[in-house]
Amino acid sequence: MPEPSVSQPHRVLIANRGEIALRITRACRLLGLHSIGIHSEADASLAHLRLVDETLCIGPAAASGSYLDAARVLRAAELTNADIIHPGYGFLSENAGFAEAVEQSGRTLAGPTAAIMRLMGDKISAKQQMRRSGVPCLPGTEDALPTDLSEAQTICDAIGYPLIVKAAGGGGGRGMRVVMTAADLRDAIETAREEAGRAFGNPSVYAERFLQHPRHIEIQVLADRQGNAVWLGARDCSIQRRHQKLVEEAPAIGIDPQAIAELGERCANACTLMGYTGAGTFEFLYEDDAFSFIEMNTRLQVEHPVTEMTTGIDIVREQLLIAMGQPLSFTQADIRTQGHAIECRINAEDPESFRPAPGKVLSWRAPGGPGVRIDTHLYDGYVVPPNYDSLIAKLIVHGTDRTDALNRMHAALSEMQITGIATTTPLHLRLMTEPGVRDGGVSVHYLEALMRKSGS
Amino acid sequence: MTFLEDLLNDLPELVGRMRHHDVRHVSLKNGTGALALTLSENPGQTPPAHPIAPPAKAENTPVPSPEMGVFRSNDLDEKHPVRSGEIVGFVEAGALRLPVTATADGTLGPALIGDGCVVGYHDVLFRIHPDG
Repeated sequence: MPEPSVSQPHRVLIANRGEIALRITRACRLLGLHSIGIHSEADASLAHLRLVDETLCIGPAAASGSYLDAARVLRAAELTNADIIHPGYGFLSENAGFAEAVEQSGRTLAGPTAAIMRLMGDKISAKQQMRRSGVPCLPGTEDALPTDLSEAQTICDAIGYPLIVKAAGGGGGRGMRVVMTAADLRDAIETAREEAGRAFGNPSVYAERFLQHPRHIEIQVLADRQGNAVWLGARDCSIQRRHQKLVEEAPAIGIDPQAIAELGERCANACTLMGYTGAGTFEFLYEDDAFSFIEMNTRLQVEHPVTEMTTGIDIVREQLLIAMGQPLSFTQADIRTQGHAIECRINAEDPESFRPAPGKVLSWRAPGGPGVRIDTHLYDGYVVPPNYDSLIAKLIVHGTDRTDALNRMHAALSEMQITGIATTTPLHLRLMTEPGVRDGGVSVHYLEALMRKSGS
Repeated sequence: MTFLEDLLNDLPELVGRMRHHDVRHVSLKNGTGALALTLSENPGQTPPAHPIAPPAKAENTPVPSPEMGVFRSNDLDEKHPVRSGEIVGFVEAGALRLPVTATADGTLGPALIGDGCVVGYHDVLFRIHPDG
């Protein structure tokens, strides 16, 4: 594969779809990079395909035959002579096998190495690495629970109840069981193992203390290939439903900024220690003034814009520069956060039942005004296909403080118009006026409790 | 506003509710007008405007690429007569050389992609004009 020269720009294959493909396309154009948009047969009319330099249909509508098919994506990279692959989020973005194949083909993935993905993809080895780096973890097992249930019982009794049994190779709530008393342990382990084996091909489970009312706090990091790593502030992503985030904000309010700074430093140091490269996120539960590591996402996050709005740093641009081998152009001392940013995920879903609502967008009117950003691939007449994730837009606002940001978000949501399909917009509008949200600092159980209370 | 105008304004919400409750057909009427709504099986697909299709017009039949790969021409003459299933070119997909086959009887139009060019999955490579 030819090395791009000064006169020959890097060729970036965007291995994703929807709003994030458009976001990456914009960063490529900003840097003057040659962009290649791949798509499934159902996605030929995606918005970013009008902006990229080349397009290629790689397979049928089903993600398993297109965006999730590593061999097809790699073949597309060969055919288009791409030297960098940006995986976005979801699909192949945390697939170590894909990362390894990209490395073996002589190309660069905009992300960490396959070895790091494997290390952090296994929750047990990730926790061990965090402990070595001084990142706080929940009390729990050092290794996978033994297959002998009596031995597992002894270990779990020592951790104490309530505890949570989790899949080593998992995420997104699958292969996870909360155990309130010792009597419930054996069933929980067996069920979690069975579910983990089916979902992730790895039946290993581990146990750790279960926090009752934690917040979800995360730290964004960026690390280059020269060994420099920085943290870009904290995000609060506690408004979730079934472990899927719905509203995110930065900074995390009501937490001592010094405690966050110390945590951020530890995360950046952990990146340097393990040789991490690219953008990443350390996720924590926060309860009783203590942070506990949950997992690291070795990719760009959906919610990265709130960090971009508060720091002024274009994270996707930085990812591409790192992939091109350039060192970070700023140090930790240069990073300042300003104001408050909130993101609402606009999903093509019924706002009460959360049932997916694919279909034709009859009209789309974007909100605007100072501090309003919309990341979306929508346009009038766009058909939301039923084959993929239901995220269709991210509405992001930036205000001088949290109250200002909440007010701007409410105004922007009121102004935004999407007709033809159901979306989560009415729920967001309601949330922006809910006392719990206005006060801030709600736990990860807040939204589900609110929905139960209102009978949804 | 007339009954019909009111309904048309409320159409997006009505369609959303029909989908939510899995209702495929609704007939509404009052003294001044009537409206019948039929939703397609797949959201996003527009139901046919006419219940009975107009007589089929002879149209060109597309010949799609069987795979993403590199197109290799068979150097066929323009206006080459073909039979359905006849090999009219190849697509190299990795180690595979996959035949491109005519999808109908008729006259093959010129290749829409140059020899050696990259083609996508199911990209149209030729069009076949019906004879007669």
